[in-house]
Amino acid sequence: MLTLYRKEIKSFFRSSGTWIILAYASLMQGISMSIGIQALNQLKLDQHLLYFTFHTPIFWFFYLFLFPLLTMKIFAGEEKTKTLELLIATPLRIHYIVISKYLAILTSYIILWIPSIITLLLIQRLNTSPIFDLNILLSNYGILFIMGSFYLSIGIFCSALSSNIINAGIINIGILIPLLFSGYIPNIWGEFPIAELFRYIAPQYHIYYFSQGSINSSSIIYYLSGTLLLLYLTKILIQKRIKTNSYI
Amino acid sequence: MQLKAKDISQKIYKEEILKKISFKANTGEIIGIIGLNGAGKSTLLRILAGITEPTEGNIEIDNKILTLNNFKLRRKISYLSEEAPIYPEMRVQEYLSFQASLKKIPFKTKRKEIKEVLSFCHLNSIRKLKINTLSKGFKQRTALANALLGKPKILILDEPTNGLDPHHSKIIQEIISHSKKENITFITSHFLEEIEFICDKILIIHNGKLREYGKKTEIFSKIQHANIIFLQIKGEKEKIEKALLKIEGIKKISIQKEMENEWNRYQIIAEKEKKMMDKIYHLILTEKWQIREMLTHKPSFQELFKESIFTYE
Repeated sequence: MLTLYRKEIKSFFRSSGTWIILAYASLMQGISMSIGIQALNQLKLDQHLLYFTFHTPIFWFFYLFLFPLLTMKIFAGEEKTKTLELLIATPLRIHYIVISKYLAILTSYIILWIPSIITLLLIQRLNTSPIFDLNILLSNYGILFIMGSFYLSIGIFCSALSSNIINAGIINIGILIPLLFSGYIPNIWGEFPIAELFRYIAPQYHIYYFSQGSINSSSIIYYLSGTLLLLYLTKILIQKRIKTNSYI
Repeated sequence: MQLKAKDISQKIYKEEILKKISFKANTGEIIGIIGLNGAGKSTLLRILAGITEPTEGNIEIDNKILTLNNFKLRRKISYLSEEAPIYPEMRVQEYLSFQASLKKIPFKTKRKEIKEVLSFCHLNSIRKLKINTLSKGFKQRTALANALLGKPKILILDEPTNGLDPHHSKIIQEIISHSKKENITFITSHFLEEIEFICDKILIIHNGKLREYGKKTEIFSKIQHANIIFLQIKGEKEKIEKALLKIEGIKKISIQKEMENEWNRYQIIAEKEKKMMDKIYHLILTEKWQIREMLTHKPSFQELFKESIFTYE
């Protein structure tokens, strides 16, 4: 499993696309952070910088496209180069393949946030008065990590669903849009019986708690169980596709 | 080592891809699997490789049943699929090292084994090159080197020379032939000359059914239903045709080439019979025909296969 994990990480950083994604992520994080700083200065609200940063439309735009970009090649790309067959033919259990690939992409996802953490720590250091405490920073990035784990598992599932990289990306966006923005539906339509459910599905609800520095265990359970379920479904899907020869 | 396929059937959704296929193979044999596109060759290879399980029947290797989770047994099998999958961004040696780790080749022997396959497949000079810079022939040899890594007891090759030039095809054929002592090799190819050249046994599949299985020579004589004889005789063609058709066992006569001064070249399709040439010669003598040529045509495996495949319908 470690061999495959290492290979995935190496391949990720060897690809020119990765550096484009990294540049895109840094740029978008920087823009949303500067918008957050501006908003905080102008509105003088009793909120944290991180809360503003993670609530700008540009942040959600970046966040929506980040997952398909990271994951669409995971299985669909291997299918294109026929290398998935190579892995299947080696005496490796399917769930090892899924987990290795997932962990590698999760590591890459974590790496993408490092520039923004460095920037925040620099801002904190350069400011005369601290703008956030370390717990808030940790809880904010903690929820981004937990949420990311879930959305990456959706991406991996979509990548296993289609043998075409572009299709995998489009399916992923199609699933992410309602998941990321369902919380805004009650704001548009007004309150209705399952409005709370829509809010709960959306990340804004969960980010709110974590941006205050508090930890919400139900959010952790929600995202973690979703991740496990999707990874399991990915494994089942690959097994099914092998059995029906659709990887040939 | 012995491999036994026992009543292998494979259904995908409601379609029956393989129907009750049974055969045995032993170490040192190269078995050529042939059939038309969609006959079920690749499905059979995937079952033999342990990638998929048959819906009915099983594969036994030294009396142990091959299953998806029997990793001990699966480690003895190496499978090279049609597209020769390799990671283009890796270097040849790095790729083999990665595969050796996946195959769980012990660290102590890993370097030695990689060195051996590199030299066996004549890849030493390109071992440090990136795979995406290699020609198709070298890519295929790299994929074959990977298949041979770990000294597999069963080697499964799905069209290993597909799309290669004659030079690279020949090298691959030689590598396969040289490695045969240590394993059972299954190979598919649409180039029947290649199958004829390197295989010891032939397995013919048609519409998911096993039609023939046995030694190459046995299969050739079994599927050769007719003799083709060429004859150049001078004379009135209707008269000659009529006389020849009177010989028992001659099925069809046609003029292959009309020549000058009543000379014609005839193609005779006759039953597979040893004395057929004698019978024709006897007729020529009694009729006092002038003769320039009389020969039997030895059909190629390609011709035999083309002819026989329609008899399976």
